[in-house]
Amino acid sequence: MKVLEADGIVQVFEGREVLAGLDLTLGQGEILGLLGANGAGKSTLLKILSGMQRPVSGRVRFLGKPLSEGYPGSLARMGVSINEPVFYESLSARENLEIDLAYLSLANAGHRAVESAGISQLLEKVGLTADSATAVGRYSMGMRQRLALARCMGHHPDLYLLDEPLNGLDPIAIGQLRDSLRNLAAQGSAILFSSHILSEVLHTADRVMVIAGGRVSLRASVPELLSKGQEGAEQTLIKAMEG
Amino acid sequence: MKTLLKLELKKTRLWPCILGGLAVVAAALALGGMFLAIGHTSGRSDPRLSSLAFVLQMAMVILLVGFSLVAAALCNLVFIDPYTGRNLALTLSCPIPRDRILLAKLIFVGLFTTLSYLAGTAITLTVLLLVDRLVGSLGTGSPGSLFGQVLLMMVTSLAGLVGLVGIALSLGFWRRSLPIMFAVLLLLDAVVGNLLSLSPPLSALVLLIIFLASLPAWWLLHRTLMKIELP
Repeated sequence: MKVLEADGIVQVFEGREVLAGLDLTLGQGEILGLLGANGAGKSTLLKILSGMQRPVSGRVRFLGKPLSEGYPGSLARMGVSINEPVFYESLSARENLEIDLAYLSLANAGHRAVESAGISQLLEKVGLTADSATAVGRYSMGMRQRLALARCMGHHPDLYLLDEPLNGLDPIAIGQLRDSLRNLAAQGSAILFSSHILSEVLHTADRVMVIAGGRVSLRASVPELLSKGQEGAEQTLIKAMEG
Repeated sequence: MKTLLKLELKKTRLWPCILGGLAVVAAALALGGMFLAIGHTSGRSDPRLSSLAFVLQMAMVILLVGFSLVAAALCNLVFIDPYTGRNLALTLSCPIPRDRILLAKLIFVGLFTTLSYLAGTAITLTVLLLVDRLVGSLGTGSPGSLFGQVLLMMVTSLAGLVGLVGIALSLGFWRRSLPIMFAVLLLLDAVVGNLLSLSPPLSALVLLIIFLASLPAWWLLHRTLMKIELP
C-alpha cells in the first residue's frame, strides 16, 4: 500500500526554482533515505510532504487522499521533525510529550488511542528517563533529537518525516536510532529521512533518493548501490549529489 | 475547547503577566491616591479635582493603559512567539484545525485579560472608595450616578482594551516585531490616556471608536495566521 505519493512538486523561492517537478512514492514498511547537498531542497521537500508548506504546483497524496484536503488532521498520522527540533523550552520533556499527546488525542478520535501512560516508556526508549523532569531549554542537541524522535513515535504514525535526525547524535545513539527506525519500518510505518552521513543512509534505508538542482539525480535501492561495495556506493552518491 | 484552553494555559508562562497585573494595580492605587490627596487640599484651580468621579476616572485610565500593556505581553507569548521563527514549525505541526487553535488562543487571552482587568479594577476602586470614606468623602453626586459612570467606563474600557491591543498586535505581527507592537501600543495609550480625561460619555465614545477601528486589524491578523506556512 502506498503511504505517500508526490507528483510533479515544484517550489519557487524569490524567483529561484528550489524543486523542479519532483516525484516520489513511499510504501508501507519502507525506509527512504533522502540525500542532497546543503540547499538542495531536502527540507523544503519534507515541509511540503508534511503539509506545512504549499508547493507552487504538484500534488501530494497521503494514504490515498490529497494532503491539501487532510491537513492539519493528517499530521495526527505522521511523525514529523523538520529543521532543528523545537519544543516548549521552559517545560520538561515529559510535559512536552504530554502536550503533544493531548493534541493528538483530540485529533485522533476514531483512529488510534494515544496513551499518556506510555510517556515513560517513550522516554525510556530514547534514553531520556533520567532527564525527563529537566527543562528542554537545557538539553543538548543530541537530547533534543532523541526527544524529537520520542514525540514522533508517541502515536504510532503511518509515516515518519525526519529531517537530519542523526544531527548531534553520538555513535551509540546513531546505532540506537538506526535500530529504532528498522523496528518501526518492520511494524509497517513508512519512513523518509534526510541525512548527510552517507554510510548511515546506506546502513538504514531500503532505497535512496538524491536531489541536486531541484531534481532527482539518483534513485536506487541500497542493495543495488552496495553491489559496488561501500566505497563505490558512496562515490556514486557523491557524484549524484554534485548533479 | 476546554482541553485546548487547558493546553494553552500549560504552554504559556503566565507569571510575568500576573506580576505585571499586580504592578498595574499598585500604580493605579498610588496615582489614584495622589489624585485623592490633591482633591482634599485647598486652593485648587480646577474644580474637577474635588470630584470623586474624576479620581476614579483617572484610576481607571491608568488601569486601562497598564492592562493594555499586560495584555500585549500575553499576546506576544500566545500569538507572536508561536507564529514566528523556529517556533512556527512547532505550532504548525499541531494536528488540530487552525481556526480552533486560534479561537482557543483568543478565548485564553480574552479570559485572562478580562478577569485580571475586572479584578484589578475592583480592588483599586474598592480601596480608593474606602480611603475616600476614611478621610472624608469627596463625593458630590449620587452614588447611583457614580456607579453608572464606573460601570460605563469599565465596559467601554474592556472594548478599548480589545481595540488597543488588536491594533498594536496586528502591526507588530505584520513586521514580526515586538518593539513595534509595544511602540504602537504606547503611542495609542498616550493619545487615548489623554483623551480619556474628557467627560465619561466622551471617553466612552473614544474607546468604542478604538474598538471598532481594531476590527479590521483583528480580521487581518486572523487571515494571516490561517494562511501562514513554513518558510
